[in-house]
Amino acid sequence: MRIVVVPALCLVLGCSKSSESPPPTAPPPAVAPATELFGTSAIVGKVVLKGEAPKPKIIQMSADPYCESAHGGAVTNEEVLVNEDGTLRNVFVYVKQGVRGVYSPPGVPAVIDQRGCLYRPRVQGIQVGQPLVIRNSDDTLHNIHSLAEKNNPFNLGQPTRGMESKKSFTQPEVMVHFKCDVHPWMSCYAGVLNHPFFAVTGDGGTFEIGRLPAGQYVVEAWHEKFGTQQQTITVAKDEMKAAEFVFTNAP
Amino acid sequence: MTSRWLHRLACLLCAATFLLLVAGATVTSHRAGLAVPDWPETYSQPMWRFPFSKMVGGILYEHSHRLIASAVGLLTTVVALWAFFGQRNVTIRRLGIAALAAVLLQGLLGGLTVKFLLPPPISIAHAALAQAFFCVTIALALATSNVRPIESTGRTRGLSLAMTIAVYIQLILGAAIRHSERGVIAHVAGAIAVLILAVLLVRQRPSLLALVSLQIALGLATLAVHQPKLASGQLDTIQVLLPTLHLAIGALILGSSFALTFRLGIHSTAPLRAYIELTKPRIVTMVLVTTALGFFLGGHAPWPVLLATLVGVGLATSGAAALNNYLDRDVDSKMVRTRDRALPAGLVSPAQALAFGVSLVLVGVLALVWAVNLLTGFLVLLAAFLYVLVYTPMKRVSVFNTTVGAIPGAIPPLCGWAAASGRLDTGAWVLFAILFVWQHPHFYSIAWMFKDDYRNAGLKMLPVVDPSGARTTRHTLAYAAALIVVSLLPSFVGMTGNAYLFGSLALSVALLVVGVAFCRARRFVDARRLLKASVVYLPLLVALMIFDKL
Repeated sequence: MRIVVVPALCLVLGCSKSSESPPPTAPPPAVAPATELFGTSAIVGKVVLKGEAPKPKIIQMSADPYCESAHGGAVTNEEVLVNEDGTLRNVFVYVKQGVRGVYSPPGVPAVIDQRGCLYRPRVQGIQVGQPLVIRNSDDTLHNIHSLAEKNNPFNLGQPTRGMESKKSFTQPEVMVHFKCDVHPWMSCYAGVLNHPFFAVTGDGGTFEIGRLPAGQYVVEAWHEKFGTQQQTITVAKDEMKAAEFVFTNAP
Repeated sequence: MTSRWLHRLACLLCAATFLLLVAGATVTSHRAGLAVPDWPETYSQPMWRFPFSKMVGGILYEHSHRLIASAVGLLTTVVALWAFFGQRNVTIRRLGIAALAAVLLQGLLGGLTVKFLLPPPISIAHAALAQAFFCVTIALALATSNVRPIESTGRTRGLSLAMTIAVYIQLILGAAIRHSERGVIAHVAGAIAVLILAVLLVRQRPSLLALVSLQIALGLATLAVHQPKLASGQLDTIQVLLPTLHLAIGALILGSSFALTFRLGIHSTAPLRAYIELTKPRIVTMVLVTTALGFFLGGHAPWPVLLATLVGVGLATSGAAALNNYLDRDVDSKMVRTRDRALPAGLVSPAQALAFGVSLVLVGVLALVWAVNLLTGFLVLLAAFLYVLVYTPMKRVSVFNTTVGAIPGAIPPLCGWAAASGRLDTGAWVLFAILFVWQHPHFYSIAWMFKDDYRNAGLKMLPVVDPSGARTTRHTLAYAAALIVVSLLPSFVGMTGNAYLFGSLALSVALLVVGVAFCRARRFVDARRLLKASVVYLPLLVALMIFDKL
């Protein structure tokens, strides 16, 4: 009798829950879905700073004796790092529009290492769903505070050396800012994307975004102080297209 | 008998609270509010066991603040218990309870703001309550002392009270700037107002003017070196020192002004109370509740918009109520129920009431247009117009005044809805309809209870022209019956679900039953029962809607 009454009541009241057991879910796919599109084209280039490079400020680490003793001499602010040839380091270059595939995240974690009271790396790219390991390699206390806006922000304490925390992101967000409120000079950024087409400029100020399918892309270069620059770039099959981004330091 | 030791403890508490305020300001100035991510523990250790050697960088400021805060909490508990159990003086006992409640709430706010990563509303509330708590400790120190009240004129008392309120608002605005980068212009305007008040009070308290002048200079310097909250890199010493000092001096000005106000006599708040009464606080509360309801059901606008809406609607409604009192001052003096109101009793002059009302309406509407949107500002202005210039005069002319007056009375949910979504959808009009219909049995019951009063004053309420009550009861029943249908509409248009559907049906039927009882017996007590039922009905209906939406 009750078996009849319950569904009848549900019909009247508009219950959404089914009284039957849910249908068995499909087993997770063993291989990546077919929508993961890779090609043989690439966008390569460099990022240049026009105008005089700002003089880096010395970081006052005296608030934490450990930090001060971790470095041989004075440490300067890494907000703007210009190479000898005038190229700019720590620029996040990524495909902003034009990616059509769906990409599963790599299992290899991205890492933020707190070492010498600085973040390593300062700027990096990470995919949605990719694990992020945050490690404290210092013999002092750190808090790692994410100021994410589209993803959930968090604030974790890592009081001892060797502590690790694991996080991941659910939404694309360029950029997620991390900081340490114990050591206010500590600051780093992660560009969260749902595809692997990104790069960060290093010693040579160059970047390379490879394995792109042929097509038209909006490419953006992001720098923490100088903002963003965009270019629309079309690449043919097997083509390696050169691009250059120029940021200007207004005096 | 007041113990000297209690007074000494209260003075110590006062000084410790000032130190705590400065310590809190230091945390914000260093942007170290999240340097200790957990609460109430510090890096997973009990607060008191966290070693001094580990208080490095930002932890030094945040953890020191917590240590001082817990000491102040302990001291407050001692003082509060002593005041409550050891003293006969009602003021001292109440202050003790207020201090204990404030310090507990303050600790909770501090913990919450850490847990939720410093959301501006919680951080600003934490800063505002800190200053209020400081005032309570000053009051405790004064109330337990032998200091005599200062004799003075009403003007001085009014100025001193205005100064205290203005400085307190300034401190909240300052907190808003620090925690949300908003409110600079209002803060600067407020500084000018405080300066004027300090000049007017210079004979009584020359030190206040000196402090305010210093404070304005500090404030300008703070603005000059200010760096937005999200800017990276380290702050210079001056960027930390100036805002901290600015806050400390601000607290001193508040404390000094509050102490003056307290000693001039708290008993002299009659003019203030008269002005508050002029704004019909109970009506304003009802309007704010229904505005918030419209806001909640109308969209997903962020919290500052709700705050701005409530402030704007609250100001304009208060102003409209004052103007209604102004226009009705002659009839109010003829009615038993209303002859003690501020205007007929002569506590406020008609010209003052008129200026007060017009300014409030203007400020409220302009604030809405500026901070929310044009539609909301327009709706509030429309409601004020209908209430003050159509309904109020119409009471003397036609029995339809109740129906016409029900229109502005039903506009608040439209305002909330418009504020949240920028437009008026079906749901907004459903809420309008419910309030419009509900007001009829509500106001007919009042009119029936006071029909002799209304007749003497010459107001054309329905029971006045209908002595037998036949028409009044017919109308009451018709609207109460209509309310059953109208109150179900939210579920029919998909705003709410079954819980609301059945709940509102039960409520409306219950109200109708009370209405029928009134219509049969038509006694004063029956009308009063209907009034009470209608007053209970609306909040319950609102609660049902919100419960169903959550």
